Amino acid sequence: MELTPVPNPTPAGTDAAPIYEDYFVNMGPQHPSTHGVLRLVLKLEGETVLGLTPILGYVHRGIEKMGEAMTVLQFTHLTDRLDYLSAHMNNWGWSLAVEQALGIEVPARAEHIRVIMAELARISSHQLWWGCLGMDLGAFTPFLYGFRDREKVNDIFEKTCGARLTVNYIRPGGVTQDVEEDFAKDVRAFCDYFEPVIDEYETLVGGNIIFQERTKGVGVLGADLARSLGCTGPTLRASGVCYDVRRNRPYGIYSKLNFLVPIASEGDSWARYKVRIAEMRESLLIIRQALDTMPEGPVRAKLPVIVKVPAGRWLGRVEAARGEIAFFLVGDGTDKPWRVKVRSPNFSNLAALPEIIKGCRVADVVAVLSTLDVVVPCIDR
Amino acid sequence: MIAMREEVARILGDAATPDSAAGVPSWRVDAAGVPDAARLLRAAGFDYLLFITAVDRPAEARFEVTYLISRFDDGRQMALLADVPRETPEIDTVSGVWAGANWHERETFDMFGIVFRGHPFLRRILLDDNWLGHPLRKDYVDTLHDVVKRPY
Amino acid sequence: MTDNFIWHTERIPPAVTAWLTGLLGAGLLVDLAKMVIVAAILTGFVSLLALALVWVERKVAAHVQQRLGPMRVGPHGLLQTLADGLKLLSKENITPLEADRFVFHLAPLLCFAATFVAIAFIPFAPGIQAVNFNVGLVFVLGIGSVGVLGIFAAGWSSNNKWSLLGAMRAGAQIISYELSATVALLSMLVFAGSLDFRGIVASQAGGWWIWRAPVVGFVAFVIYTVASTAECNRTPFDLVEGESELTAGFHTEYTSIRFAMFFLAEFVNMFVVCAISATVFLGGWMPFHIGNLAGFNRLADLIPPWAWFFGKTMGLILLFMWVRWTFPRLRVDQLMNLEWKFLLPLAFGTLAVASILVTAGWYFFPG
Repeated sequence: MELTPVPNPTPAGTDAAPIYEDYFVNMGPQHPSTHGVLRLVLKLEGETVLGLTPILGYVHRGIEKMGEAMTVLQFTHLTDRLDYLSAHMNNWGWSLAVEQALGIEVPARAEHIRVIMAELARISSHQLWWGCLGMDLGAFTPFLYGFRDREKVNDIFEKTCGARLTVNYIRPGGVTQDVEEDFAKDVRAFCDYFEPVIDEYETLVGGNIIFQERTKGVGVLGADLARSLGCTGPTLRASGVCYDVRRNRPYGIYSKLNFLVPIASEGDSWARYKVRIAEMRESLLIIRQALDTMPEGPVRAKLPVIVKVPAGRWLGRVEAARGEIAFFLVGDGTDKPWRVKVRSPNFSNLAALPEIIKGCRVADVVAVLSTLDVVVPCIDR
Repeated sequence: MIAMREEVARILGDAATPDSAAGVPSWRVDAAGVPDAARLLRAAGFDYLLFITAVDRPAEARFEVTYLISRFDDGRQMALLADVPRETPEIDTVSGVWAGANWHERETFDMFGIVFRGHPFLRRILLDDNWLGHPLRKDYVDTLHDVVKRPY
Repeated sequence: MTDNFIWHTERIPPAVTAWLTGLLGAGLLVDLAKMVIVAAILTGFVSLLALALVWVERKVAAHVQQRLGPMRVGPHGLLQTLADGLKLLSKENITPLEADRFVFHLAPLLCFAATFVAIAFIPFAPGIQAVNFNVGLVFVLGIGSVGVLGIFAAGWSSNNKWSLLGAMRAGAQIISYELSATVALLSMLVFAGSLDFRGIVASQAGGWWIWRAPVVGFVAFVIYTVASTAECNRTPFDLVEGESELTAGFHTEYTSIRFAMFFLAEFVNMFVVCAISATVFLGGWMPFHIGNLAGFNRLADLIPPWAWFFGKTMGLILLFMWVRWTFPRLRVDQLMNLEWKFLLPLAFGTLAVASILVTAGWYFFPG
């Protein structure tokens, strides 16, 4: 097949001859609000957005290609670097795929630790999202409050996993090492501290009428479009679709835990905001239950020295903070995978942006992108 | 799984043959029959397209285009496989069935060079427009950057 | 003023004039010398003011956000602004290739000049006022509009789409909110009965208009505060420079000293606006008197008038800063809605009620 350079994509809906008043503006790749290195080309008429084209690939590192060159155990560290705010869940998704392939059973203590870590990561991710949302809309203070509280979670991660962000803790077979003695005390202290703080978050940002006016009715995503695009996570649940991997395809000990899945029906930015705030509360419940019922025992199953992936196709699906992340592992009998495919939740969520932003204003682009909550390294891989 | 296999066999009929590999339940269809199979599955409630990608099998001179389809209500998953020849990798698009297929097919084109006929906007999505080659192919050699391997 | 008023600062200007006359002889030279002295004092004052206000803003922001702010350069970071100013001045002065050079260079001067001139009209203490026009208030409000020209010129001449968007927003915003601000001030003017600042302050000898004009005073004060926040392009009305959206709005392309001028103009503008608010609503340099309570009034008189003035102005400035670090920003159509559909009708209503109250004499301590 002849390889010829392909011309630059034309912005949305503009294959016709350009009209004199058409006004193209470039948002990014360096921009305070694009949550990573993302370039958006906006077609404006005054302040109204007529079309939007995201241009991706600024953070493309070829992670899937790298997966073909390293063993399944080595690949775990790369999964941290996808959606780095859901590092634990990414590790878990990959571990699920490998455990299915090898038929490994994970010890009970490791399952409990995995749940606690994943839910702490979810809270930490939502704290950052909340702070950035405030900052994007002009209120600079929530950013610092969110990060102040996030530090407590980072301290727990650092004590247990050795790293604050790229943790590489949940690996095929269990977790790398057992938790410290004061882990339960630290985690409970955080939960006790954070529960009233969520109410503070609600008052400071959610209760502010300017914030409500900026988000209500803005960027409405209908349920049918969301399903068709493959949106998942809070973005989908705010449009009224009850889908959470922890409920619909339970993994780990989620089927034994008592928690609610928050759903809203309007599908606007305000609904997405409310769903994430409610999710934080539910995560605290999950953490407490997992802590209360944590058994003693080993934290990692015994793996062979050289892990060979049998021929076949396996899919590890987990609920990351932003949606469903899935790792597709195609094995060929050797120790290196034949193909690794990462199903990125942010990729599908971002696909909704061009559809829902038509007719909104420039300021709304920032609000909608912030509540869609995309992390670009996950999109670009 | 047995109930799932029977249900999918009923939906797709003779067009699909179940694949015997371990792991995710997979069915193989003709490349030409993919849009019809997609429509039948979508109508039967498989409304969640996780991803579209390809697996390069150079030994058999084919790309195995893989559609991972699931359901939002009960979370069941299946893989739909279609083989396209490596020399002229072309297949019809399913972006009319699931809107999300649009970007997934662009990525598959970007990474493997598989042309999706009927796609509204088939351009590269992750790589630069001037990129030469398709990186996830097994015979891909990085032509833009000369990498000199030095012995240690 | 009571008999106990001991701070007779109104004696200073005649004393200085007399000294200068003795030195230079009567005539034009004395006037010129006075102008030079006043200009020098004002320039020094504005510079120090800008330095101080930037430091206050950073400290207030820091403490609201649970951190400390500048602490290293000087005790508690007092010299930080000086260091930042020196750094700004030492940066390269870039003019974009396609920019309209003359307008590009003129724009920051327009902004800065507008706010600088307004300082000349503010009464800091009895007699301490650079210029006293008999229509001083109207003149100051008019001068504020020149600032819009500066912003618009900056946005247009930068040859940058984002700057243009910012400038367009600024034009619409400032022009709209000037209306409510003016009408709110007018509501107090009908009570004060005078357009020049000296008269307005003197009329508050029996008490400040904010409470002396029942309800109307407070409502007009709130309207004026909201409108002037918009005038100063501060959050929640800072979509003009909406950092998260437009990176820096109309002053994106400006560097070094030109950027410093925009930056300082913003802070001095805030001071001017708060000073006007303090003068018209809170009595300017007038101590807190309550009608005929001689004993209380005597105690209040013990505090020097410039302390009263700066105290009130700084209090208002702190209020502005507090609001800035708490609220998110409005979208442009919401901002316009707020002004034209809510604030302006309210301001006109206030003016109508104020007129009735004044005519009927239904306010505290009339006459």
